[in-house]
This record gives sequence, structure tokens and C-alpha cells, in this order.
Amino acid sequence: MEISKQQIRKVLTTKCNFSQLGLNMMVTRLTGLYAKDPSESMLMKCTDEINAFFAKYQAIMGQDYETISKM
Amino acid sequence: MLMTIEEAKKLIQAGKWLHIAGNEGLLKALPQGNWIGGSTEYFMDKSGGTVSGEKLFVTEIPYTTAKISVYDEKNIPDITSDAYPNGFSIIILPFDSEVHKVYAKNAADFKDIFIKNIIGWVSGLNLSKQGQTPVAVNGQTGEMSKDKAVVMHIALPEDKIASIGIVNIFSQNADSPVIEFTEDSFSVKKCLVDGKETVFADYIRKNDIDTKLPLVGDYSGSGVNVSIKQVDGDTVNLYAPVFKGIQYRFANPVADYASEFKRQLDELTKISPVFSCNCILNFLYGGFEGKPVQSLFGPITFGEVAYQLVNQTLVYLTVL
Repeated sequence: MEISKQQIRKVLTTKCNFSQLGLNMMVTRLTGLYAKDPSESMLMKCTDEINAFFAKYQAIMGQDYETISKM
Repeated sequence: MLMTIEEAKKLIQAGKWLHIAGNEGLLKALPQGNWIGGSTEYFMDKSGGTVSGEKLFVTEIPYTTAKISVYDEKNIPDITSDAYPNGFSIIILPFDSEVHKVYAKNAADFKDIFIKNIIGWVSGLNLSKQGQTPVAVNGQTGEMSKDKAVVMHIALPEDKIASIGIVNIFSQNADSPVIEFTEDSFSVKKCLVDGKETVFADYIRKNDIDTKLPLVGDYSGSGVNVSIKQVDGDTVNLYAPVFKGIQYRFANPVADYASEFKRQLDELTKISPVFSCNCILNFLYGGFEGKPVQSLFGPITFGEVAYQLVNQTLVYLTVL
């Protein structure tokens, strides 16, 4: 359930809706950080954070992973 | 469940890990043990919404590895590093304390806040009684505090995960303009209404906004409410901070507050939450006193925590 840097860029720059509250709050925070600092290092930081969330909650992240896969 | 102080004492003396909500005096009279507590006299139990200074709402935590930590406004960011790698944490923040304000404004920036499952509430008082103080209690030491947050960190077995959910009867009203704020604050004078600088209090008055309706922030598909406390001259005071960069709209009106809440709760009757609590504004505006609900019992609170501080929301945690 690995999400690529390119997919994360789309998540952070496109309006998207997820099912998990924690992911929604995290993405909202990271979207704000990336808007302020759209650098490669910030994108990597966001990619790592979102992948850590998916790794920890893998069992309940199927629907949101599919949403990202279709973006 | 709601119980007498004698029943609560027995559970404490049996060494159970407990979350206890109730009157400040009752909490003070409990023996030391593995519990945390916070003040409120409002509850939602099987029998319905209840106001009581004589009973305690006790939630037994069905896990055996846990610890209790106390935080002030300086070390509250440590909550996430203190939490178990796999588990959840229940926080109680005394209303209007510095730690309440610092948590409300900064929790989203705490390291790993969304990886650790932090749920909880803001303690309060009986709105009809004088002389009460919102408190949080560390049951292991008996320390009762009006300015420190108390947290129970609970570890889960490796094959289990915690998940936090909310019940929010409000959604953004598409007819409301987008309202944005230029700073993070509990107290607002100016805002941007569809990009135009406006005195927020004037906007509310001119548009005859029902202040029982919260602002709903758009968090990537989840609506997060900020409730209006008071419109005072040119200042609007809020029960939670608004944040720069979040797009808010006022909520859609709800025709029948209690029915809509009950409808959403009825959809969740199959879940078995380990912990839940609901907002005093839902209790009051929904007229829940004496009205039974089927599930999601717990204390009625003065702010709810689902990772961050939220308002006018029921929060719950399940273990899967």
C-alpha cells in the first residue's frame, strides 16, 4: 500500500475526500504546509507522513487507497 | 455507565483502569487508583440524557497495559511521544485553562498526532450552579487540577488497532459564502467573506445567522465544527479556534435537531465503542434530557477531542 510522491502531490494540490477522519485532518494540515512551501523536501516529508499513516492503519485504509489510486 | 460513588469505588479498588466523569466533589471523594476523571454533571446513558451531581459516569477500559500522565501548556506536545506505539490515549482538558487553549490551537502540529489516537474532552460544570470549577483528576495521585490536562495512555495488543470517528449532524451550507480567517484564534474580529474583508460580527448580525449553527471547516471530506460562543460588539468569541487556511461555511439548518442526531446514532448501533462523549451544545440544543438513545453513551462535554479539538460533535473510539 505504498503511495508514490507523484500521487501525494496530486493529493496535496487537488480537492479530495477520504473516509478516515485522521487522514482527512492530516491531509488538510499537509496541504497547508505544501502550499506555503512547495519544495521537494516538503513533498518528501508529506509523502513519508501519509505513507506512515497508511502503513499503520492498512487494515482500514482500502477505500482511501483506492481513491488515491484513481486520482 | 452511570453509577453511584460506592459502585465506582468498588471498581477502583478492584484495580480496573477507569475513565470517570462527574461532579467535582464526587471525584474528590474517590480513592486513589488506576483512573482519570473530569468534571461534568451532564451524561448520556441508556436511560437518556441525565443531569446529576450524585452519579458518576464510569467507563471501564478493557485493556491492562496503561499509564497516566499529566501535562501543562508547556509539555502538552509530549502527549504523542508518551502514547504507546499501538494504542490510544484519552485526554481531559479543564475548560478555559491554558493547556486547553494551547492544545486547541496547536494539536495539529504535534509530531505524529494523526498516527497516535488521541480522543477526549474538555471538562466543565453545571451551567445552573454557582461556584464550580472545571477540573481534571489523576486518580493515581489524587491530584485534581484546573490548569493541567490528565491523560490515560492505553496500549493495544499487536493484532488490534484503534479508530476514531465522529457523529456530526452538520454539513457546510453550499449557499453560505466561504468564510476564511487570517489567523488562528478563539476570538475573531475580521474575516474574509468570499475573499472580501468583513467584520465577522457584522456579517452574523446583517445576515441574521442562527448562532446555534456552527461554522463547518472543510477538512478533506470531514466537516469539523467551530461553535459560536458569543457575539460581543465587534468580536465573535468561539468555543474552538478557527484556523488560517481552512475554508469555513456556516452549517445547513437542521429541521429537527434531536431526530437528526438520533438518525445518525441509529446507523452506528452495531459498533461497540471503547469510549465516547458528546457535546453540551448537542445536549442542550437537541433537548436530550430524558430522551433515550440506543448507543454511544458517555459524558456530555464542553469541547471534544478527536485528534484535534472539535465542537458540537460526538466523538468515539473503537478497537478493531
